[in-house]
Amino acid sequence: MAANTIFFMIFSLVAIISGFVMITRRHPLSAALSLVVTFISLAGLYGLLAAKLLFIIQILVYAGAIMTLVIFSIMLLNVQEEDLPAEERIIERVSITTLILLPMIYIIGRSFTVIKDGQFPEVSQDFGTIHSVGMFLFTTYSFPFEVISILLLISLLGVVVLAKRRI
Amino acid sequence: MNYTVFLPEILVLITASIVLFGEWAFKSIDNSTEKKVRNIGFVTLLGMFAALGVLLSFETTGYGLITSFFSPETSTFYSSFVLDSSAIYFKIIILISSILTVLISFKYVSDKIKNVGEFYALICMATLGGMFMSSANEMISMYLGIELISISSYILCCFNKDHNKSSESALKYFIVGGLSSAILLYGFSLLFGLTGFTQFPQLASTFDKFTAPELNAIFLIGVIMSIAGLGYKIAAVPFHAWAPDVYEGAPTPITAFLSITSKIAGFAAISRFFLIFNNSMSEKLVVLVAVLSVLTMCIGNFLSLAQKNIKRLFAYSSIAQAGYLLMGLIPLLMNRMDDSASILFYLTAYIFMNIGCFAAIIYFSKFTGSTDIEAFAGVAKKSPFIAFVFSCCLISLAGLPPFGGFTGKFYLFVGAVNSGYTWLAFVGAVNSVISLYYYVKIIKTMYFVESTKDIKFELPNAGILTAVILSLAGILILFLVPYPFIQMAKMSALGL
Repeated sequence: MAANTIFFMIFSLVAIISGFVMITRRHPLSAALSLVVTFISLAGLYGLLAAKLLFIIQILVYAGAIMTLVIFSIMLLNVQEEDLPAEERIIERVSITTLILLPMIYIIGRSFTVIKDGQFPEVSQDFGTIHSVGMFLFTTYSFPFEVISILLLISLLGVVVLAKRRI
Repeated sequence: MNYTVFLPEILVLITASIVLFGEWAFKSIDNSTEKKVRNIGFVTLLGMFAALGVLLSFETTGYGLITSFFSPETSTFYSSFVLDSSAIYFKIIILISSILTVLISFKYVSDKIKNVGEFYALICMATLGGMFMSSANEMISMYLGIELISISSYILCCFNKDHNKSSESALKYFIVGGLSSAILLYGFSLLFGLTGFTQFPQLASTFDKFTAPELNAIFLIGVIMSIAGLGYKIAAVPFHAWAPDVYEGAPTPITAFLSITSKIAGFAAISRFFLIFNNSMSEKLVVLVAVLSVLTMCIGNFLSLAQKNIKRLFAYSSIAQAGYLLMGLIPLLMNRMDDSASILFYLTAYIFMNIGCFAAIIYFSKFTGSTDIEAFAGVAKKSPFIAFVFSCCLISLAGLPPFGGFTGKFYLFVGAVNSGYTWLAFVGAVNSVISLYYYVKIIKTMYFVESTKDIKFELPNAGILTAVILSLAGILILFLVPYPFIQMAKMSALGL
């Protein structure tokens, strides 16, 4: 087996298991920590795909910044075990959802077997580098890039409106 | 690059910035909130009217204004943003509906809402999102337009901070909206993964390549997920569950905004998204849309029958209206451009009839202090004119002459029959009859039930009065002289 495949197996197994742990843990903090593990193994998968920028961003922004924020807010809220509502029949719920999604996994898996070479354009040499992502952001996708700035302004506004004390 | 094509958007964005960052400049000398709201609202209206004026000049002169100064291209930013005739039409009706929403909000805002500048700025931003959605020619731009209108709406829903219901509605909307965005993105990413393109024209040209049934199946999953994500925006069954709670808890002008502007923007996005399908695909989709339409109409109407709160009733009624409107997408998918104008026409009528209702709801519930239908007993004696317009709008929503709702529904049904879906038009007609029951129930309560309480009514303020008069004029004109408007809608549908 190629080293690529072995790493892919390891990363995806870790991602799936920690994802499962995340939705089954009762305490928010342990759920959040297993989410960090999922993010890091996803970053490994991006690295295997040679998407360098995405790999860095996944670790810096998702596993780093966003998760710090999540963990901080959980700690500030100081959620206790007894404050949490009772969760009933969690195993049944998870397995039913999995059953519903299984056909989709099957179809997606099947479709990879019929994809022929040459049906898709080949990835260029500099795929996933900071340079090529930057080129895309400032040419083809410059419009969405600008719209995001408005979106950020709105979220800032929302935070102020919701969190500001009443005058 | 040709920047004039998004002049209207720039105007709306500038208005939002003025209202947001210049709120301090609008304080009146005697520190009255009412005057401040009036000033800020006036500036918002001014900016939106300017944008509307630019759009109308685009509409009437073709692209004369653009081409005389700049290059003749009507798309910009590497074709992420296009300004074709259908985009212009959708933007015009989005702006008209936002203007009417601002008009009916003055009194409510000065009574109940503290952050006035932010409120109007967010309405502008949400309008901007709707305008982006109607010109998005690419999946990421469309997604960002949807997020723009959704995130602004989440915040707007909880502006009424003193009420628990308002926060509840915002949180519910936020969670359901976040989930729908995730589903939409998953669908888009499957489509992107299959084709390698995000631009709609390129997407449309690559689908023919996939002949293997497995790839077709993935493609179908991607499309269904995208439709699910967009269907939540228009509150189509089975993605409608958020609507009643959100509509009930949100501040009433925002309920009006959600039921009109947000819905128009959703239909703009869906009709643009449906353009990518070639003929073999659209045959499957027509069936899907027909099923969605029947479900949406029937469930919306049946659940309306039992409602006691008028805002909840309007939530279900707007779900039912989305069902009729979905019917208008069928000619679009079958490439029958003449009939696909019907959806544009009905949306235009829908603005006026809904805004008339919400103006009346805001006005009456201020004095009755509740939004229960029973509280509206006997209001017709206190305020005959507003009650009269309210009744006209309700009859128009049910689809009876002599109002624009009748003409609009007539064209929708004709479009369905011409496309070979006679049974769908029949279901629509039966549903209209059912809807008559709960619409007339409101009229009965206003006119024939004696009021138990003695409530004093003040005269309506200028904003509400203007909106009410405009809505009455709108639904009457669309019935009496529909041809110029249908002609305009047909011209615009050619761009679809």
